[in-house]
Amino acid sequence: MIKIALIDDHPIITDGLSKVFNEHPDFEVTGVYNSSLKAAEELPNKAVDVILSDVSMPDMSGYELIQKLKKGKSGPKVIMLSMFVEKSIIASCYQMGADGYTSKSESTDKILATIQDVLDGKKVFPFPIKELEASDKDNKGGVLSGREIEILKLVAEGYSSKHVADKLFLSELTVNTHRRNMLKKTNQPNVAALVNYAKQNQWIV
Amino acid sequence: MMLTGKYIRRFLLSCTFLFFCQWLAAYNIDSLVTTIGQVPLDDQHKKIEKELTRLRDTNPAEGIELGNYWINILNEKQQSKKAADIILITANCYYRLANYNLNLQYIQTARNLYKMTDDQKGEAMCLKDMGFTYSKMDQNQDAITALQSAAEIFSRMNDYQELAVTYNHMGNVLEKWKNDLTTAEMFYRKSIENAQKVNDKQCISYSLEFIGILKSKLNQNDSAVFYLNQSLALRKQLNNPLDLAISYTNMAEILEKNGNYHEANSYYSHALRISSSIQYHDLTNFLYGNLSKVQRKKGNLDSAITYLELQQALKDSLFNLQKTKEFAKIKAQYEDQLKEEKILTLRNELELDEEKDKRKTYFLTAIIAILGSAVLLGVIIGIMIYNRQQKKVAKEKISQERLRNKMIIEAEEKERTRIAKDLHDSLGQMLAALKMNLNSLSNQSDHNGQFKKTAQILDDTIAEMRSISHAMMPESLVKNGLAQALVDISSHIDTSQTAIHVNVENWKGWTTTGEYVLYRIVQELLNNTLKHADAKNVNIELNQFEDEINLIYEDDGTGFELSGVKSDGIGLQNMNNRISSINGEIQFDSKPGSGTTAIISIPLTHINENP
Repeated sequence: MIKIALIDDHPIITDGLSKVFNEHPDFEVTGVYNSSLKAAEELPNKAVDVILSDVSMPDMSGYELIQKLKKGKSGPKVIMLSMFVEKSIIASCYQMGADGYTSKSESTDKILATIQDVLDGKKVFPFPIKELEASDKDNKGGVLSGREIEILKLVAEGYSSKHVADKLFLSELTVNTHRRNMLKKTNQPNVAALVNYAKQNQWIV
Repeated sequence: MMLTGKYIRRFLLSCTFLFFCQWLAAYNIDSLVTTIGQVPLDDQHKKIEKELTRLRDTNPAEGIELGNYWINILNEKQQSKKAADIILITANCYYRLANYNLNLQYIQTARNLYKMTDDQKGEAMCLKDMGFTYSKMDQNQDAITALQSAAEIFSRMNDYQELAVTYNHMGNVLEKWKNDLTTAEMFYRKSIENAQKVNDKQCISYSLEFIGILKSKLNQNDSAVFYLNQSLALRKQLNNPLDLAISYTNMAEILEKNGNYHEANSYYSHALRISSSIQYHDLTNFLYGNLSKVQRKKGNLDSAITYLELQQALKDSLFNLQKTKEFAKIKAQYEDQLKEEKILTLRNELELDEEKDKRKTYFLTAIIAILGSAVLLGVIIGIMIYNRQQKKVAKEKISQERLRNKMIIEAEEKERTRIAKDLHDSLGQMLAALKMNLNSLSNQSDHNGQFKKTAQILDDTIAEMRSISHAMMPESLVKNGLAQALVDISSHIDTSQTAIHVNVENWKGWTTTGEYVLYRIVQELLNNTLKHADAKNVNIELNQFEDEINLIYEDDGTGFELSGVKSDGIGLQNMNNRISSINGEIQFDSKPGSGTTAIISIPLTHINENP
């Protein structure tokens, strides 16, 4: 028997889920919580194999709850069950230590399959794990965008802003804004230094 | 001359310059602000609201300054309800200064805020004030419509006090506009009926007075005296000098009309004593004139002349007071002006020239030169003062517009957040539960594929609900900020036709309002691209530097001719309003066949870090 606990601030959801698991021969529902705070208090002292929890709850958010429930590898598996499908929210759940994420609007079979995969030791998310890990590292700074490198290449070849603009079907304003941004991003005093810097970093040849 | 109802109401409505001393006294917001120091916001607000109400009656120009200052602060603290209250009082200040356009604009802003916070009483108060202003502007149809709407709300809310006041206004407007005395009287009586429920004696005293004046218009003088006496009796209890003075004056006029000069004289004298003591010069002036008339009719020519002399003296002193005030104002402006570099050099040159020419030129030429320069100087100063004032007015107008925009945008975002949350929390959870229940039926036999169809409709409904909730207010924008929300922007868009690339550089987060504004603009740009541009790629770059934030949005779609775009189209105007509310600007770059680029830049100054 797989011992399962359910957390959702909407009784209508926990009722539906209880029914599904109670009718299933492999599961035993050991706890139903409509308050995340209460779940955080009581669940760590209970023997549970898997916890199915909502993300957006009023008294304590799902993110915080994951951290309270996940204590090392031996503890229960935590699967988030939410109406959200946005990548950044799913990524936050992954980064907080959740073992899986599934949408409430998925079919019962799909939810059951997710639980089985997680119990088998897999991380089950609707996006590749790599993307979830990377999604917070976009902010590191100092890296030029594709468009900027395209412009910088032409600048390095000696084109003026006006020529670059004509070549790329942009206005001078757009080209100048990109040039300004590149100087600020790389902290270089002028375009000549910027071109040097970009060559050193092998952004352009 | 008969003191008509209209005239009396002018007294009632425009006691702007009741106390000249206070008008002249310098009032300093800074001192008020330092005294309130670190007191909790609620206490500060109460104090300022009280002070503002006082200034409205005594010095509305300062009231406007204080009001706008506090509106700004409340706005920063996102206190929509409190801000609406202050905006409404500030609107009254504009009314007192006869600036009816700004008055209406402010009322409208307050009304929008009340609407968004679902404050019906607030909305009704706004409608009532609008009715007042419209009536003053002689837009009587609008006035009646607004007052009627206000009355409906007050009556629905059982707010008898405000309902009574509104009925009085309606009576006033009907009397003035259509001379419809019958309906007007009916409104005054309805007003009394409601005011009695809450024992609002002041309001009843007004209604009675209005009926009295109305009766006198109908030449029912006994009846007029009866109502005015009732009003007077109430006012004696309330002991409000201004109201009492007006009561005595009304009574005296009726008596004078009836030929009862002796009693009229006595009432006029009562009124005069009060109006002199509260320095209500407008009324005092009027009373001197009427007293003189009554004395003449009684045959006391000496007294009649004395009153005329007193009247003349008052007029002179008022004129002097007015002039002193104007001179002080002009002098202050002139002194300010002298600080301007141009004037200084001009004056230096003038003095220098004088020195040089002293010995050489004739006395007469010197005088002509000085006079000429003085005239020139005067003209230049005049032009500069005018230009400066124009600039100040224009600047004030822009900042007020910006403030209004910002408040509306913030209230709107608040409302969107609420709707998105409601959608997601109640509707969304119910749909999810519905889906679970439906799933448990899936093992049973499916009649004609009805089950499958139903399940499909439910899935579509859930997707639609998500997409609406996301467009209203994405959860990731609220929880994780702009950078993450931009990453999620494609989650409800069919990306098989258009790929969206987001590149966020060095984003450390910004103010909530700032982030929301930027997000809404990207949303609008993306909508345009998906609807019209037939683009394969969209690039969004968001950069944050020490001195600026900029966002570059690019698509490789069909583009458009910039000159063919109407700058006042709703979408563009919306974006411009939003951008200007955070002191930024947006520029477009597009040609047919070569995609569209929009560049949004916001310089970060000390003001902008906290828009």
